[in-house]
Formats: sequence, C-alpha cells, structure tokens
Amino acid sequence: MAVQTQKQVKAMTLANKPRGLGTSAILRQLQAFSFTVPALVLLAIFLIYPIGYVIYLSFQRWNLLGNPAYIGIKNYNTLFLHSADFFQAIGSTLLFVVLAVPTQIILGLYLAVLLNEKFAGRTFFRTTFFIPMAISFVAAGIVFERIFSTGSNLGIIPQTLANIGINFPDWEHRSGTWAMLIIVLMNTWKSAGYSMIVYLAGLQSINPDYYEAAQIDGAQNAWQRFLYISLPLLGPTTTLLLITHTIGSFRAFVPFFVMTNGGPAGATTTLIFFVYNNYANRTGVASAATTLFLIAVLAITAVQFLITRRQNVYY
Amino acid sequence: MISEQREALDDIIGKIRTGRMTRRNFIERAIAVGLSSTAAVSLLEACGGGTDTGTSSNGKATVNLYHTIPTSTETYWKENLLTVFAKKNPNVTLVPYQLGVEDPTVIRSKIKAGGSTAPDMAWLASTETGAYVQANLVPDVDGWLNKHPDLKNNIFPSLVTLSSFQGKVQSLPWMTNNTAMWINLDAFNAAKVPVPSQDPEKTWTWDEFADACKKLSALKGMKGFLMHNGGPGWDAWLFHAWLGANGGEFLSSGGDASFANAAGQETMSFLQSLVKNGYTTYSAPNKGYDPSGWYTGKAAITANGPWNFPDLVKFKTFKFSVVPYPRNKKPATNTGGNQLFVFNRNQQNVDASLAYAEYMLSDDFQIAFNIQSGNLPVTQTATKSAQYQDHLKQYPFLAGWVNGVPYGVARSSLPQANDVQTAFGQTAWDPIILQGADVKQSLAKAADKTNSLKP
Repeated sequence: MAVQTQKQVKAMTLANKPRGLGTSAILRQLQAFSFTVPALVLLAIFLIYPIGYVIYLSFQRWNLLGNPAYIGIKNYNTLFLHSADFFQAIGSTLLFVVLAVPTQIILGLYLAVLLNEKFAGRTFFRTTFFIPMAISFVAAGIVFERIFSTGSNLGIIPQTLANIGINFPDWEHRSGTWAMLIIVLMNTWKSAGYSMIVYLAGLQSINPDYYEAAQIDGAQNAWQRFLYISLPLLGPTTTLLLITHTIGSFRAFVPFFVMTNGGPAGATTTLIFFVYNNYANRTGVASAATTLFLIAVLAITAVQFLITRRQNVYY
Repeated sequence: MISEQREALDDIIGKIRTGRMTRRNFIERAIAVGLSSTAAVSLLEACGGGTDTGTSSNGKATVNLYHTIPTSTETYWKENLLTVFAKKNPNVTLVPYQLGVEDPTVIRSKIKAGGSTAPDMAWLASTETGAYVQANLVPDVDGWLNKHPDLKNNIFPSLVTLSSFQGKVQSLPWMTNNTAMWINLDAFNAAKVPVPSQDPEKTWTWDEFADACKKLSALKGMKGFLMHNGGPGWDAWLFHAWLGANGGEFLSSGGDASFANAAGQETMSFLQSLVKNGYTTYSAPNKGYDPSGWYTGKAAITANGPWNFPDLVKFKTFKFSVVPYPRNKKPATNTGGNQLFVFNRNQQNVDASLAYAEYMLSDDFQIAFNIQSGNLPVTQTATKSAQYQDHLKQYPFLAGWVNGVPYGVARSSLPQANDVQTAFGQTAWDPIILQGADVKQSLAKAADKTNSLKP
C-alpha cells in the first residue's frame, strides 16, 4: 500500500474542505438567489402583506367604511369575554376536523388498496371515484341538501324512509349533530377521491420485492402484507394527506354556507363562517379571530409534522 | 426597474388617469414596459382604469349603480326606463351593475377599493343607512329633497321616516313592499276556514289564525303554515310584523333590545305554540323567502312579499289570495323595500345621481317599475293614479300588501342593525322556533348580545 505523503494528505484535505465565503462564492449565491426574487415578491404581495394587514386590523375598530381606529387588544377581549358564538364556532370547527379528516383518509386508502389490484373495469372505477373531485362544492352541497332535505319538500332519502315508517333526523332545523354528519358525508364523498389517487401513487411506488420478501418471511395473507409493508411505506403519503386535509378542513366554508348557512342555531357555524359573518360590520373582531386561527393551524400543523416525521419509514 | 422603464410607466399612468388612453392600450404598454400582466391589471385598477372620479374629459358624468333587481324586471328597467332617463339626461351615462345577491358587504368592499367601478349609487335596504352616514359617505340628500318640496310631500310619510337617520333624509325610497299572508283558497274551502278580510282593521286575529292552521293541518299531506327558516335577516324582518301586531317594538332608537320584553315573549310563545302543536312545516334553511312549500301544497299559508308577482300571475295550480297579518293588539306589517343610496364621490357624480333620483321618484317611473316588478310605489300620486288603480283591480290579491302599507313597521337604520338581526336570528329565533328552547331565556340571551353590539 502506498504511503501517502504529508503533501498529498494536505492536498486531499484542502480539496474536501468546505469552500469559504470568497467573492466569487458570494456572487454565485446572489446570482442563485436572484432567480427566486420574482417568486418572493409574489409571496410578499399575496401572502405576507395580507397576513400582516389582517394582524394590523385585529387591533383596530373598523367596518370597511372610513378609516380604522386603533383600540389595542379590545377585539381579543371581545372574542374571549363577550362572544359565546366564537367558542361555539371553535367547537364546530374541531368537530368537523375530527370527523372529516380520518374519514377522507381511511376511505381514500381503502379505495386505493382495492383499486390497486388488477381486475376488469379497474379504470372505470378509478375514474368514477375521482369524478366528485371535479364537481364544485357549491353544486355538491346543493345536491346533497336536496337529497337529504327535511323541509316542506322532503328529499328522496327522508321521503323513502318516511314511506317505511322511519323518521329521518331533522338535521336542517333541529339537530346540529346530524347537520354536521350530513356535511361530513358530503365532504367525504367529494374529497375521498383525492386521497385515493395520492395513495394509489404511493402504493405503486412501493417496490414489489418487499412483498416477496415479506412472504418469504412469513406474511402469508394480504392483510399482513398491508399491515407490515404497505402501511408503513405509505407513511410519507399519509403525512402529506393528514396535513393537507387538516388544513383544508379547518378552512372549509362552502359546505356550511350552502347546506345549512351555519345553522341550526349556529351549530354548524365554523370559525371561518364566524369570520365571514363579522368581517363587514366588525372587521377588527373578525381579523382577531383570523389571527388566532392562523396561529392555531400553524401550531397544529407543526405538531403533526413532528409526530409523523418520527414515525415515517423509509427503506 | 431602470429609469427608462420608470419614465415610460409614469407616462402611461399619467395618460390613463387623464383618460387619454384606453384600458387595453394601458395593459399592452405596461406589459411592453416590463410589468407582468397581473401587475399591469392591478396597476390599472389602482389608477382608476381611465377615469379616477367617474368623469370624462368632455364633462359627461359616468355613474355606477349597483343593484339586485330581479332579472325579469331588470330587463324591462334597462330597455324602457333607463333609455328614457338617458334621453332626458344626455350628459349622464348610468352604468348598472347586477350584484346577484343583496349583500351590503360587497358594496362596502367596492367603496373601499375605489377605482372607476366604485359605486355612485346602490339599491339597498335601509339597514345600511347608519353605517354610511357615520362614514361620511352620504351627500346632502336632505338638502336636495327640501329644495324639491313637490317630491318630498308626495312620498309616503312613513317612507320619509324610513329614509331618515339622525333627523335627516339620507337616502331615497325606490320601491316599497311588505309581507302578507298568501292563502290557498282551495284548502281554506276544503277545511271550511273562513277567508279573512283584506282590510287590516277587520282581518283575522291570532286566535283565528291558530284555529285556521289547526283545521288546515287536518287536511291530508298539508300543514297550516310554512314557518320561515330564512336566515337571520329574513326571520328578524318578518318577526317585526308579528311583534308590531302585538304592540311591541324590535329595537329602541338607542339600540336597546326591546324584543325581549313582555310583548316579544308573548309573540314568540305564540309562534312556538304553532310549531309545537304540529301546525307548521319548515322552509329549507336560509330560504325563508322561498315559497315552494306553499306552491307545492305542503302548507296552506305562507308569509311573503309582492316581488313574487311575476310568478303569482302565472300560477294556476290552485286559487289563492293575499291577506294581511293576523292582528293581536293592532294591525301591522313589516315595511321593506329598497332605497336608492347616493355616495359622495364628487359633485358632478352626485348631481348626476340626484338627476336619476328625481326621475326615479316621478309618477311615470314609479307606476311602470312597480307594475312590472309587483312592488309598491313610494309616492302617493303614483299609487292613486288611474293606471295603478286599474292594475290593482286586475289583480285583487295585491290589496293584501297595498292595504298594509300604512301599518308598516320599519327596520332600524342604526349602524349595528344587520348584526342585531343576525344575533336575534341565531340566538333567539332558531333555538325557539326550531329547537323548542325556553322563550324568555333565549330572548334574554339575544338581548344581551344585541346590547353588546352598541358602539
């Protein structure tokens, strides 16, 4: 074996040493950074400035007319001390998120596993389950409201059940819980297709050798292969869907506006709906609610990310 | 941006602001200078897109009118009435914008955004008056009307009051309406219920109404009354009529909740009893104005307004009439309608807008517009005119609304009026009517919320 000389060792060390901040290095960094400037400008205009403006408005009294007047933290006091409907809105939002997110993910995963197998008509079923994604929430909400309507003109489902002597819960007028369940049903029908497609992509990216190896190691049935191979390897996909669906569910507005208008008696008035109800006449209060909402969603997303990052499996 | 670009941009900004360049040319030149298309359009809007104040270089005023006139009436209005105005006022270009849904927040956003499409006028309910006055958006409409005593004295006094805030007229009534009870005459005959009088002083009482609902609910597949679940504003507005018929008041002039007192409790208890006794069916949520449950025969009575006239004249499924609200202590209905709000952008546009207001208050306009739309004229001479009286004779059911006008109870014009209606709807109406909640407690909660909304 050749003995390396001291000179050779020094040359190798210098070659491997991280480059310092010389002028050319700085210029290269600036050049690279300048390519991101247009995107950063857009981000500043359409994201950072509006967020900053909303936070600014949360300390003002305003109703979109005239000029805002600074009032300190009074809007936050109003929310915490004088707005029972604010806390009701938080409760409704959390209920919707807890119900909607798992159902979309679990149903999407179930459909993806089924449709990952080869069988005749597989493409047809994949398309069919994805089509609701192409329909707007407004159209879907109106249709579901009509199908399940408990008003003077009963929808087809309550009418059919009434014909066989079963009373469908009056979700439009009396039961806030059932109102939320019907909305979750519509939301799941509409959104599970997206989870299905993402999970399908995830499943198809799993190397089949893992399944072979699992079989050799004793995973005899499909359930075991799913539990010990597919599910862990779908970890990053699940993380992505969990985060996006959680954020999306927190931000949901159209289903509530179209189907129940926040009722009955405010039972389906979510935080975004609360902001919508207040933004014109009490812009400061609405902005304070939005600011708190932003902080909460960022915190929840960060926690989700931290928890799922530790648990994700990468081979 | 380099200096040559800056100079070029300043040049085209100057030209667009003084009307020496069209919008299309501006966008083309801005993109050529180096702006993205998004930035160019944003800049165009910020510069006013041609005219910052609505005036053009030849002195012609361009005024923007935002409205939600229903489609069938809108077509008639544009083709027959606006054309007349344009001929009489060649120096004014009136640009109508259809809002689709009467949402005052859209108007507020448009006002704040400014630019060439900012509103000069708006067709809106009177509940926005206080907010506009406090923001100094309203010109001296009172002074203008006082200079036209013939116009002022011809408007129904109750509508002058409706148009006033802090003792001055702040907007002008465009058309008025109220709600009354639509009744299915075939169902009334089948249930042997006497048809109430269209004279509000002689019409049915609350007890007779409840009795009618009971008998009508015994008919197969039908309930007595279509209880509205229309969203907070609609429910609160209709409640004004019921409360007025019981001698009560919704909101004091100082903004205190008067609906929670004895009259309000008695009124809500009566309405709740109709629901608990099974005499009612509900409208779809947020669609209390939708009479489809009545059209399809699911309910024999519903409360609704004359703007449905174009549909009612074609309705042949069963015989019907329109009668006043049942009275308890006195006759009442809820005064509604839409006002013409004029905004203080600049004097030329204010003058042009008031020229339109003058035409709007003329007999020719009031008769033609309201015969077409089914709403009610705001002036006495138009109402008494031979043409309008012939119209009423041709459609006798209109008397159910027309006769109620003198007994109308108006909504408040305080700045928090819309929020109060929302608070009432969510905290009192929905729990009491939909969920059978305790009347006194729910009204008290709504009153607390209302009182907390006072500025």
